[in-house]
Amino acid sequence: MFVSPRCFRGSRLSSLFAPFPASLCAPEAQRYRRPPSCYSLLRMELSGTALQRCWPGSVFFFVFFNLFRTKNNIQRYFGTNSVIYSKKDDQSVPTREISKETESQHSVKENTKKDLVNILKGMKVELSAVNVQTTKPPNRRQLKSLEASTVRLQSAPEDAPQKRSESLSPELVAAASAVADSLPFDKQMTKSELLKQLQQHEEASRAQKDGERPKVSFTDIISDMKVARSATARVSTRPVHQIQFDEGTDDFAGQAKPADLRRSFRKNIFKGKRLNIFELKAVTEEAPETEAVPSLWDVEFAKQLAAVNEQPFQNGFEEMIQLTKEGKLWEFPINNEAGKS
Amino acid sequence: MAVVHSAQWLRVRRGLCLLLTGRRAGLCGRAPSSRFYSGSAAVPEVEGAGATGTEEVVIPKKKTWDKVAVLQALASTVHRDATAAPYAFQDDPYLIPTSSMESHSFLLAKKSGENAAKFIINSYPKYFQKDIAEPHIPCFMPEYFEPQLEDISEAALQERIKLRKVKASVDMFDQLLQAGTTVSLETTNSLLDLLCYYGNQEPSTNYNFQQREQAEELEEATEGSNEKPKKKAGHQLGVTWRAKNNAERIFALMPEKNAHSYCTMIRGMVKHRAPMQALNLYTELLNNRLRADVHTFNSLIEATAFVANEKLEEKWNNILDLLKQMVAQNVKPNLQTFNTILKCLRRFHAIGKLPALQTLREMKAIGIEPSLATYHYIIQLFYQHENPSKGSSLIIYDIMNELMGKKFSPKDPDDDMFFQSAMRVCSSLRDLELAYQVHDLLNTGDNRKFIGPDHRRNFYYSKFFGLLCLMEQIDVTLKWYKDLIPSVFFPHSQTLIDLLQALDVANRLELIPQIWKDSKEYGHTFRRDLKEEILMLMARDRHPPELQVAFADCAADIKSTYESQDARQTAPSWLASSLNHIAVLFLRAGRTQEAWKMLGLFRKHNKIPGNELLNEFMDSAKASGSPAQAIEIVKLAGAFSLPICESLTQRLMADFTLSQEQKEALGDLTALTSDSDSDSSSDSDSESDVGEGK
Repeated sequence: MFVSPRCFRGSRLSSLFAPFPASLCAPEAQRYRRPPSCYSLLRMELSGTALQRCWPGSVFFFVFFNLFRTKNNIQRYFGTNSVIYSKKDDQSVPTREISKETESQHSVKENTKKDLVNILKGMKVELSAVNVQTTKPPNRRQLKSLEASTVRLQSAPEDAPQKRSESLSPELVAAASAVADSLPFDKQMTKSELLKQLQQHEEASRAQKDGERPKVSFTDIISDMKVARSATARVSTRPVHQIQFDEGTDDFAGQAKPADLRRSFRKNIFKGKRLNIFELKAVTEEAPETEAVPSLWDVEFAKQLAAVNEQPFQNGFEEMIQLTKEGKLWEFPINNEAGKS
Repeated sequence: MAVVHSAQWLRVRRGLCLLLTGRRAGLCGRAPSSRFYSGSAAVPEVEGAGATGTEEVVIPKKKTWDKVAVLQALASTVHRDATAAPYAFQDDPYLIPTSSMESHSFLLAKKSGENAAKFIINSYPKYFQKDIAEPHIPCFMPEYFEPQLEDISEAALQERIKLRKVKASVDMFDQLLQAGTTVSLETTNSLLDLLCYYGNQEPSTNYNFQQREQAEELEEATEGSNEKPKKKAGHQLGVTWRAKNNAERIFALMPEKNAHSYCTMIRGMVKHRAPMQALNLYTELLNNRLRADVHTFNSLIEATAFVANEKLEEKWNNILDLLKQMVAQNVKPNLQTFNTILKCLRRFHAIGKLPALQTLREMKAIGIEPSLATYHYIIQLFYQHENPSKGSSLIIYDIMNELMGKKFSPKDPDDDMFFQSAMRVCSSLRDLELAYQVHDLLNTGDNRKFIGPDHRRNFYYSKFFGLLCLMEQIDVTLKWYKDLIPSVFFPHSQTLIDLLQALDVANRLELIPQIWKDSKEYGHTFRRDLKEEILMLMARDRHPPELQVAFADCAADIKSTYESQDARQTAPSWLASSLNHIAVLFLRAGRTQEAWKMLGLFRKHNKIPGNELLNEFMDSAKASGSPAQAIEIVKLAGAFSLPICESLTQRLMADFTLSQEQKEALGDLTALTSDSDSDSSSDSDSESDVGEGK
């Protein structure tokens, strides 16, 4: 299933959309007997952070998981190894790049991953919030960069309030540490960052609850999302596959010239009202040829037509063609018996 | 087949394996990206190798070639040589034309030579009986245009009709009638065809080349002035339908008439501008329970549009009525039906736009492919004003989108008008991209044959090149210049002026002497506006010395053309500005002698030198340290009573050390500036020159 990465932004609440990855695992991924989460990556940013998660195989879960309270957001991102996410956010400063295809990923226990998935799932439903506003989809550059085969991760300096994880459930903490373990770099830091994010997330959800906002179920959000070309994309087993955005929105960037725009928005001259006098059938059906002998009119019209594209000869061969037609040259292929019959 | 299948399967497997290994390698992080890409890159390669094996080539047992197929294949390998004159001109290097005028007369001369030969052979067939060709070549033999059958019979009538002898046919018909012989319906109909087609006039055989030119000019004229096309066309065509002419007489005499008789009469009437009679005859045809054919309907549509004193809306409704009658009579419309409608709608101006679009859609909807002429009419309708500020339509973009990459065959006599009008629109829209599109279309397949006769090609390329000069980078423009001129067309003087302006904008003035050389070659030696432009551009700014020398050479050349022109005609041809420019150019190149001679020319032609020129002369006198020259300049200025005389005198006093005599002379000069006749011998010389010239 392809989900167009629209960001849902609430004014003071978090929004998210995330399909459920496990059930939608593509057959190819199963063929390799790798759990969908085994190459997952987690990274986070504070203040404009993105939490990204990548799934291997050809399941392209493109998840935006926007938490919006202050300026922080968490973006959760499920993708393949070929999918990259780079957020063009002013506040995010890329600090490091990693490759997620690391051996260490194999060592992560499947249980923990499943736990994590479940937890995250649950969390999302819990947090699934209200007041969903659609905003512009990510711009083109983002789309292009999705095709690269490495994952570039970005991190922002820590500037969020230093709250501890007292409000987070132990499962979440465990999951966060498991995720942090799976990463090749500083586990402690990763974990703390992750927890911080989760905490903020939690807070955001609480704030929503307090605000007595009507709850929107996860399915509602899902139904709001645009799904592009899901049927064909799901069966596709190509390892590299673009995330499909809904067409039409990303077309505009290429149309720099106003003339092009005018052209594209104009109605085609062949579409529209016609005289509606003749019918197709009447014209196409073959009427028997009544006139056997061409009249003078026909002969003269044919002559006129022949004169239309009469041009001076462009080269000697054209002149020879003309001479052949007039009968002044031997025809080709040469027939020595010509005229002897 | 099985082998192929397995091979394919293997190939797929291999591709897959490569992919997988590539991916795995990527996953393992050893070579994250490069391996992956190399894997994917290998796939198409493998596939390409396999694809050739699967393609089926059916080798025919025998292929019958058209007699010109080989020649056509060979001809398609020859491309235009941008460095050579067109092939049609190449039979004699001495005669290769260098201007559009010459090329026009060259083609006319060639054609008229052919016509003259044919005329002689056909006029005196008895002298051209020897059959030299073996096997026999029919077209070398004289054609017989004189009727061979002398007796009065229907066969003789048929022969005369076949030879298109209008008067002889009518006479024969009358004699047959007087003799009491009934002429068959078919023969009478073909006689009517002949009479109606030529409008009771003897056809001018073999001179159709000139005739065509004339008809085209007529068409141009109607295009140019849309206000009164009918009147013009009517009296220019010459042949008009007269009441009670032979056709009408014979038609009335016919004991039985079929649909063909009516149809040919109607067509003849419309062709020769008798729309009302045609429409009346159509009513008669309907009353006789006959049906008209599609050509007649096409003519009737034209007649409806020609009828005078009717509102445009009424005309349109009449046309629609005719179309409905076609449906009712089960007559299939053809391309000409719609083209005729669109052709007529051109005269409707703004009112015609919507009907025209509907007509076009109707064509498309019922599966009649529009021809180039169709689009030509639509373009003419939608772009009647040259001025794009009046809200120009964008329909040309749709049309070009539709036409891109298509190849055409002639379907309508007006098909060769399209490229010209499309390029005209490009030029008025100032859309270079569109112009390139049109040009691409022209060079698709054999489409270039639709560019039309000589003058239309010139128009097309002039517009195209003008647009290039205006919009394109100078290097590209110059490339086109080399490519198109003179192998495709000879430039107008306006085209060259456009190019000069483009050179000016791009600051490539050093090419001007070359352009002047070309202009001379293309027959613009005596174009005053072109020469003015060249001189102005050269003299406007100061340039590096080498360039000034080249410019001075060019100026001298231009001066010589003026002089030779003087010899040819007595009217004064010099402009003060040209004299100024040339003198300045001479001065800047250090050709002081010639510059001084130019001053003589000013007197001779009674022109007044400009202040800047006099100042430059003063500079040059100062540079050469010659007070005599400086005094001469002041004298000249005094002779013309120029206001600058004062400041020049002051400069003279300040910059030069003058001898006593010179000072006296100067004093005289300033004292009586008006009477300078007897001041110096050179002055009196030039005065006498003027006297002789006058």
